[in-house]
Amino acid sequence: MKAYVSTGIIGVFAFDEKKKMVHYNLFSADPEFIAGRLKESRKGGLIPEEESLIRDLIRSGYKEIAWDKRIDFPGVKCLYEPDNVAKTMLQKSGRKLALDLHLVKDQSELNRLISQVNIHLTKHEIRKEKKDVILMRAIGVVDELDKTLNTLSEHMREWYGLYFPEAEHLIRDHEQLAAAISKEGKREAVTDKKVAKYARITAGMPFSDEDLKAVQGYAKNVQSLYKVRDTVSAYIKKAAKSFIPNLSAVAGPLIACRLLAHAGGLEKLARLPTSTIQLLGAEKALFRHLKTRDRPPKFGVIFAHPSIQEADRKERGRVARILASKLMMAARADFYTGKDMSDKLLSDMKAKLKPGKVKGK
Amino acid sequence: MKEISAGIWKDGKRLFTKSMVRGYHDYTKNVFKKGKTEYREWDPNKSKPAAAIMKGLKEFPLRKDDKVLYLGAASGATCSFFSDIIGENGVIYAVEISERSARDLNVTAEKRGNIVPILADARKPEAYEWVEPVDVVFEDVASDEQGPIMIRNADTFLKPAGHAMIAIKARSIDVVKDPKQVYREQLSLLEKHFEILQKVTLDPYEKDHLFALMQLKK
Repeated sequence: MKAYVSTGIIGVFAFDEKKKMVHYNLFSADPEFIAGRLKESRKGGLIPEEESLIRDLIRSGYKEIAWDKRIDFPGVKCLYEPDNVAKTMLQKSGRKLALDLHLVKDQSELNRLISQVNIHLTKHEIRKEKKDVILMRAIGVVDELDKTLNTLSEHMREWYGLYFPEAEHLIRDHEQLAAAISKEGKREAVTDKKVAKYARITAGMPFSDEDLKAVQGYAKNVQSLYKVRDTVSAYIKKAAKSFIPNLSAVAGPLIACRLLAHAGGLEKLARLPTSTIQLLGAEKALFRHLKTRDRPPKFGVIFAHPSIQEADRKERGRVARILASKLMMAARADFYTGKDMSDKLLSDMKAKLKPGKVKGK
Repeated sequence: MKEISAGIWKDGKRLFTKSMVRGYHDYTKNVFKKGKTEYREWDPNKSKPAAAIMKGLKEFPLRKDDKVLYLGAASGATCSFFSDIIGENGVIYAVEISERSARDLNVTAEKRGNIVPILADARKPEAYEWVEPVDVVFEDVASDEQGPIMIRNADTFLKPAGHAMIAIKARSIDVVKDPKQVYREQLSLLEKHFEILQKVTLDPYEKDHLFALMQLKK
């Protein structure tokens, strides 16, 4: 005799060849408990309710059990039949069974139970640690801060420039200027020798103490935002090196994380072809090209990579292709093996980048 | 206020559903109270089925107690209105692929009891094949396989002569092609399996979208 078994939200059920239910084992109507059992069962393990059902079937004289997962059980032959009768029966009449067997008292209670069970299952999925998602959020913050800091710094320059234009002019670095303003502020207090000599002959207008205090307070906040940016990017560098060693080595940790963010995760990045990786971040230009036949883009976020930055303008397209191909390998190495093979990738890339290798130039 | 379809009310140019959960005012900016009953405004700018009704969809297929398969549930805004319409004896199986959206969908589901969140890819119905047969399938996913996704899911889950609704996103299928061409291609795929009852474009509520109401052929 052959029985068909399937496990659903309400329990474990066995049907015979005539689609008659022969044995069953209901779960107790506790969503968290059911979610735990389903997780285990769907993973391919045997849960206690399934085991006791098999025992019942053996006692009733069944010699073969068809199941939608691969199982071994002493004393009975288990067959793997993913589309078996039990599964369809349970899918079609699970609702009726739940009511007939008094698992729940009415439709709405059953709906609530199914809903609760799946909320638990979904939560369990979401809860899993995903390092790539964390890195994607962090790089988003760094890029946003870079953009915002530029604007904020421009405002700071214009504001302080009213008072001491020479300092604004000579200290080119935003962060340094922010530090100088917040720490020293007053023209006479500036320590930088190049700047200090302009203190008396400045073209700036006078600022009252109050005026100066306001711009200093602002500069202080700009300065602290630069510190935030540096802390987050230091974190990314460290975390990326251990989570995606190959991508970090080939692209640099920050660009590596931007690639992750554009692809939507490490798994997705690892499945992308070289050509797509080359253009990640250049979607706007790519679609403009496809729509209007404008010039196609040569690179996306990898544009910031030193090898492209240092390359001759005419060489940049070729360099971008080589870099993208190594990134493709790196992403796959990181996702599928986790092994660090960056030395080989980097030396391969160096060899390919040699100008002697250019074809027909 | 007039009930224009089961569980959907219209007042002038505004749509409402009768709130299943008292005090639940998510995803709506206006709540209209009449005695103890609360009606939540269903904004066509934020929900494609509502937009389709505003654009002249003659018959909306959802009924009280219906079982619904909703593909591409996102954070559950539209789901919450479907949930009002079908009531506590109906159920919505809400499939969503993005974990970020599913986080919000879970919150919506917790509050309502008739929404079943499923974190899965609608292109692979095998992952949720335990779902019972449904009366209505609604698809609103951003994929270039919109037609095939609908066909596969309806094949597996939709009851005979059941209704299907799809919001075809021309821009998700092909950014370059003319939307009309994209609609034609998708509809000709769908026509093999469904009788197309009505189609409406969703502008100005939604750009480059076509909403189609269909019924499964025997």
